[in-house]
Formats: sequence, C-alpha cells, structure tokens
Amino acid sequence: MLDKPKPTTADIVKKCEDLFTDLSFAAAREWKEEKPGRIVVGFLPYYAPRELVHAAGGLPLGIFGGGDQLEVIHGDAYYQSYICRIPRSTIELGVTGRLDFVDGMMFPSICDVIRNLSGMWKIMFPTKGSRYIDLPHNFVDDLGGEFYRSELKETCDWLSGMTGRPITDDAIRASIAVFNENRRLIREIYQLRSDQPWNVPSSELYVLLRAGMVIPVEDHNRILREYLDSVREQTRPMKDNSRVVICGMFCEQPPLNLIKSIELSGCYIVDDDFILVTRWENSDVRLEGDPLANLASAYLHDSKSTPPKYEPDEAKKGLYLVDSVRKNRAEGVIFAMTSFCDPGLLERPILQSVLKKHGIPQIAFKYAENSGQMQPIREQAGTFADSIKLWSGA
Amino acid sequence: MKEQIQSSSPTAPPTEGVRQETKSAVKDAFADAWLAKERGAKICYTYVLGPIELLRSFDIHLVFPEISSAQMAAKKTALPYIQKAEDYGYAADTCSYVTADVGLYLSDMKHPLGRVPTPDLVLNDTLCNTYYKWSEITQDFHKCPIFTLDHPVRMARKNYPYDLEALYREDRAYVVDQIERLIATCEQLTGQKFDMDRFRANLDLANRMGALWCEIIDKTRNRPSPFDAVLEGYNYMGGATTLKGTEEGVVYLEKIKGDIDQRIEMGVGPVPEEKFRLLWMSAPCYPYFRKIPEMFHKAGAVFVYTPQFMQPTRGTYRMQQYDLSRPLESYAECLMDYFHARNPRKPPQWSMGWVGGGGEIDNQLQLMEHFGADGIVYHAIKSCRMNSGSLADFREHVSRRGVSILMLESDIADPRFFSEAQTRNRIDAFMEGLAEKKLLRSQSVGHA
Repeated sequence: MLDKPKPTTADIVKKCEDLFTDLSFAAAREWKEEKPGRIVVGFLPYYAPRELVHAAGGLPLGIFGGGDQLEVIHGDAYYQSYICRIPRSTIELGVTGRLDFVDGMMFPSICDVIRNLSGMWKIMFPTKGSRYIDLPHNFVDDLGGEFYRSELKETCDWLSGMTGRPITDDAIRASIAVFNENRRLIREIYQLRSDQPWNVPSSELYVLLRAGMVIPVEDHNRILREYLDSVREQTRPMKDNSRVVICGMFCEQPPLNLIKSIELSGCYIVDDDFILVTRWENSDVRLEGDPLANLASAYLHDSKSTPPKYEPDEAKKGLYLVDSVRKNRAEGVIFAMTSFCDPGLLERPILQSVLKKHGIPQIAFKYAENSGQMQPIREQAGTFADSIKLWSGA
Repeated sequence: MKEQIQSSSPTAPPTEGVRQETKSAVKDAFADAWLAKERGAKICYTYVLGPIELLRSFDIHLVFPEISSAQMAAKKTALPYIQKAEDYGYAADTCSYVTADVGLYLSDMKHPLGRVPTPDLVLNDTLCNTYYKWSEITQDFHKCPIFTLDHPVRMARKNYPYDLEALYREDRAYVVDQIERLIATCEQLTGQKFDMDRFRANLDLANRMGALWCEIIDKTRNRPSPFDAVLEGYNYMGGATTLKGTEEGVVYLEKIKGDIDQRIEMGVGPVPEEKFRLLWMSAPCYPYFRKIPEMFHKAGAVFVYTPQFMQPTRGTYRMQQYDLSRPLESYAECLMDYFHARNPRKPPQWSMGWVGGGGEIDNQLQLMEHFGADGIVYHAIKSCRMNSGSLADFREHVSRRGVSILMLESDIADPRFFSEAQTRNRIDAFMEGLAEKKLLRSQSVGHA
C-alpha cells in the first residue's frame, strides 16, 4: 500500500483557511453528528477553559465574530452606533441560524459589551446555555485562586447539566494533557517564526490558529505537527523586513488582509496577541493533584499579559511588551486596536509610555473586523518599517 | 452645579435649602479634600459604588473621579480636558469620564471647581471593566497604590444544577476576606486602628440615608410628579453619593424630602401641566444636562424614574439595609449583590446596565406600572458600554410588549457626541407619537 503523500505547506494553509472562513461551521457540525450525545460549546475571545468542555466530551468552538465576509444585517439592530463589531456579527451568526447546533456559549469577562452579550444571548436564545465566565482580578491563591476554582467547578456543573454526565478529575487531567500538547506545538511554531519569520508568514500562522478554533484539539495537533514538518523542509527567500510585535488583536479579529498588508509593507511580525486562548498559559499546566486548582493557578501565575487583563503589580505594567520585543529581537511595536475597544484603547497610552521609556519605536492605528481599505494601513506600516531601517538604532 | 438644581418651572416652590446643601456637598468637595489633607487625612479615589462607609471610618477623604468628570461636563468645561487626553494618546471612542480625568491629570489637577489633591490610594472595584483600567491609569500618573475589590459576577443561573445559596456563601467569604485585607491596608495607610463601632455607626447612617432615599424616589408616583428624575434627581443623587454614610447626608436627604413634600402639598411639579410620565434609562448627557429634559418638558413630559437611582442604596434591593449585628458580612453582601444571581431583583427596580437575562424585561414593565409611565427613553451613551451596551437589544424586546420607546444617543461628558437638531427632531416625533397613542386610547375607552 502506498503511503499517503505528505501535505505541503500550501495544502495545510488552504485547509486551515477553508476551515476558518466557513461560517456554517461544517466541520464542527459533522463532528457533532458523528456520535449521538456530543455537545458543542462556543466561546468568545480572549480566554476560556476549553479543557473543561473537552473533558465533558464536547467540542469547544471558538466564535470569533463574522469577519469581513459576513454582512451584518440583523446584528446592527441590537446595538447602537458606539459599539465594536464583534458582538454585532456574533448576534448575526446566532440569528441567522449558523450557531443552531451549538448547545451553549461561554462569554469571558473581557469587557462590558461581552458581559452584557452573555445576558442578551439568554434572552435571544432561551433554549441554549449561556455562561458568563468571571475571571478573577485578585491574584492571591487563597482568594482569587479559590474564587476561580469555584467558577471552574461551576462551569463543570453547567457542562454536566448538558451532557447528563459528571466530569471526573481524570478526564480533566487527560484534557489538560492534550491541550498542553497543543500549546507546546503552538509555542514551537511561534519560536520558529521568531527565528525564521520569512519561513513562517504570520498570515499562515494566523489561519493555523483560527482553524484550531473549529475542530477537535487532537486534529489541530496533527495539523500543527504537519505544518512544522512541512515548513522546516522548505526555505523561502529572506527579505530585508523590519521585525515588529503586534499588540491589540486579542478580541475582535483582524481581516486576514490586514495581517498580509502589514507583512507586505515590509514588516516581519515576530510576536502578536492573535487567538490568545491557544497559548494563554506560558508553560504546561500541571497534571498532578487537583486539576481545577491547577488550571486556576496557571491562570493566576503563568498566563499571558494582555490589555484586558488586570495587572496588580505596577512595576510589571507593560513590561511584557518590552520583554517580547527583547526576546524576539523586534525593532518596534504596532498597536492595532479595534475601534470602540475600551480595554485596548484605555491600555494603549500606558503601554506606549512604557515603550517610550525603553526607546522602542511604535505606531498605532485602529481597525474593525470588516475593515476593507488596506492601503492606508500598508502605507503607515511601510513608513514605520522604513523609518526603523533608516533611523532606528535598534 | 448651581443652575442644575433650580426647579425647572416657576410653578415649583423654592429649593434654596437643597441647593445650598448640594453645593456644599459637591461643589466644595475639592476644597474640603485639601482641608482634610492639611489635617493629615489620606486621600482615596473611589468609584460611586465603592466601600465608602468603610473608608470613611478611617477618616480617609474620598474623591470620586466619576463625579469630578460629570462636574466638568455639566459645567461645559470637559472638552478641553478630553482633548488634552486625546493629544496624549487616548482615543475619542473610549469612556469620556476617563479621558476627562486624564485631562485633569495633565492639567496640574486644576479642575473648574478647584484644584484636586492627588490620591494616596485608589480603590478599584470590578463593577465595570473600565474601572480597573481607569485605576491603572490613575496609578500610572500618580504612582499610588491600588486596592482592588473583586466582586464575583453571577448571572441569573436559576436553571443550572448547583446550590446557589452555597455558592453565595462562598462568594461572600471571598468578599469578606478582601474587606479584611482592605481594613489592614487602611490601617497601614492611616496609622489608625479599625474601629468596628465607628464603622457600624457609618452603616447605620447609610441605612437611614437609604431609607430616606427610597422614600424620595417613590414620591414621583404622585401626580403631578414633584420633581424630574433626571433634572433634579441626578443632583439629589450626586449629593447623596458624596455624603454617603454621614450625618450631613441624613440632613441633606431630610431637606430634600421636606422640599418635595411641600411641592406635593402644593400640587406642583416640574412642568405647568403634566401630560406624560417617562422612565429614563442610563445616565444623563451632562454637557446638555438641562437641555434634553427641557425638550421633553416642552411637551408636558416629566421623567419619573431612572434605574440609576439605585446607586445611593448600592444598586441592589430597594430598601436594602446593612445588618448591624454582622457588619462585615452584611457589607460584603451589599457590595456583591448587584451582580449576584441570588439578588431577586424585586420590582420596582432595574439594575443599571446589567443584563442577567430575561428578568430585566419584566422588571422594566413593572417599573412602567409602578410609576404609571407612558414610555421609556433609552439614552445610549458612547462612553459607557455597561450601561448602554444592551439598550438597542432591550428596545427590540420591550417594544414588542407594547411599550413606547425612544432611543437617544449622546455621551455623558463629551459634547461632540450630541446633536441638538437631531435630538430635538427625535424627541418631537416621539412625543407626537405618544400624544396620538394617548388620544387613540382615550377614544377607544370613550367608545367602550
């Protein structure tokens, strides 16, 4: 019997792009139909305890808005002008029946809009589960840690209510293990991109991550391994691009063209905050002991810093960006925040001031998931890349 | 604030006493803060639903950034501050309370009502997600410590398979633990030992204020309503929040109550002839604080209630009182109940901006009935996604239940988000519709 030919990088990227642009979520629907009793639980950016859905035998499904291909018709009726686009397009996905196979939704405490969306979802889709995931703002183990453990326990109960089966500690440990593997592979790709950005374009990395939001994690792990194998065997031409870190894309998603435009303008993206849920924990979550306490502890002490997350230690404020710049040998930071995004836009000046103190060049612009005009962004990013090359001492 | 607390109609009796009280409570707040600082008191910035009574038991002087920004806006002086913050790097599409405050920081703390002392402590809470960003910004400018009080947020979860009461006890223990750590922080900051009796006395005063406040806000059930819930109500509320948990606060509300009783006795209200009674959802447009209610007054419409009236009683139950026999636990309950599924949200009330799911629609209908309202005005604010992030959705659901709803869009502090002509047109059209609806209803009653 002939071996199945190894997929090329282009094959893998095409498959991932097809998965993430499919707003009917056919892959997730098929997965659910394969076996009776399976559940699909949606979650919004930026972080959700996917391990628990997996441990319940369910598929955690990332709902990251409608992107630039979805025409929002109904969604606008539910929001006034001064609100970002992701809740509108999420409602559009809901009211047009695209999420009719989803059993429940998790809304993390990223901002007030998403918090209220969790209640709106209950009113609009009363037969579906809707759960607001309250993340702790207190980072002391026996306070915020205990609280978050209780929140996770309650999430387990909520999921058990859907499946009719309890979630065992062993099942959660097994799920943590498979997601640890997912995070390890993603960290590996990020490292490879940082080392050889010409070989791992960010537009490819992005679709790889997005694909992982709509398929089982085991399948995603296989795709990530295939991509790593494939990309390591090829060499693409190296360009004289500037190395930049992107900050601000943690919730409402950029159009893929926006990422491509930044790259085409002469920038290598060497770190970013795309799909943070895929690498929220910086290292493996412990498997020994109480799995919920381990997840809580990982959230408190080993998770990514990002604008929506409260930083209790003033001395550390914004340093994660400086560290990222240093670690990835970046030459500047591009702040790309969504319009009307309170956590991002209120954080940006603080971060800018930290970068300024450390002499790190930066630019800022805003976007929406349906931004169509890329020329101004290309010009801005291109000028930034040129200015780094011409004048930066970095 | 002077012009805001005058009665909007010559038919109402003079309100000089209340005006003076509000003036001293709100306008002189910064001068009082400096005096307190000179006495050696520490300054704490806290938000309007913060643990005011506890902080006051340490003689900590409180500055309310939200009220400070609202004052700038009401005095039509906020824009230069906001623009200063924008020049610094803050975006126009964020909370203008925050950007006005940043403008103040960038203006050597010179507020239109006086110079504001810098904080020794910021008391952050998680009522809205902007608060903790705001606290971080304040810390960034003033290099002061932050104490964060994390409220557990439990949505209405009646259908979930767990013991809500057990969860409530766990959450309360979480908040009590944080309060105890806050007490230790305050002891360290001020050098004062925590005095439980003094704290209890503050809670007792807050209880008396809460009871008075609930009486006051129910008086708009009279016809005509003795005051306008927006035009006068927000001034009352500003004073009540600033003076929360104090003797002066009790006296202040007693004066307001006396004034209102006098108006009821005289049968006068904000307009010569009350034709329509409306509910106001969300905060006012402070830069045009008088203008918008007066557009309604012109058509004989008066605002009789706003859910923001729940603020001086911590925004939860009407008549929620602290249990003085278990002050810390009871305090924790009041701090957290606003966002807890256990909160039965007894009518007539409506939690500001908080969408727990479903119950809010019934609650709005009950409010309509309780206050005999003819319609609701939803004021969607650019700045506040918590208060207004679901208003358009509510408009869909509540209007399906036969309620007349007008949706206005502007801002709490930034005058650039208000268009007078557009607002007037929409109000006029809405009032014409209400008048027609009333006429048709009276005709159908006549035919019957």
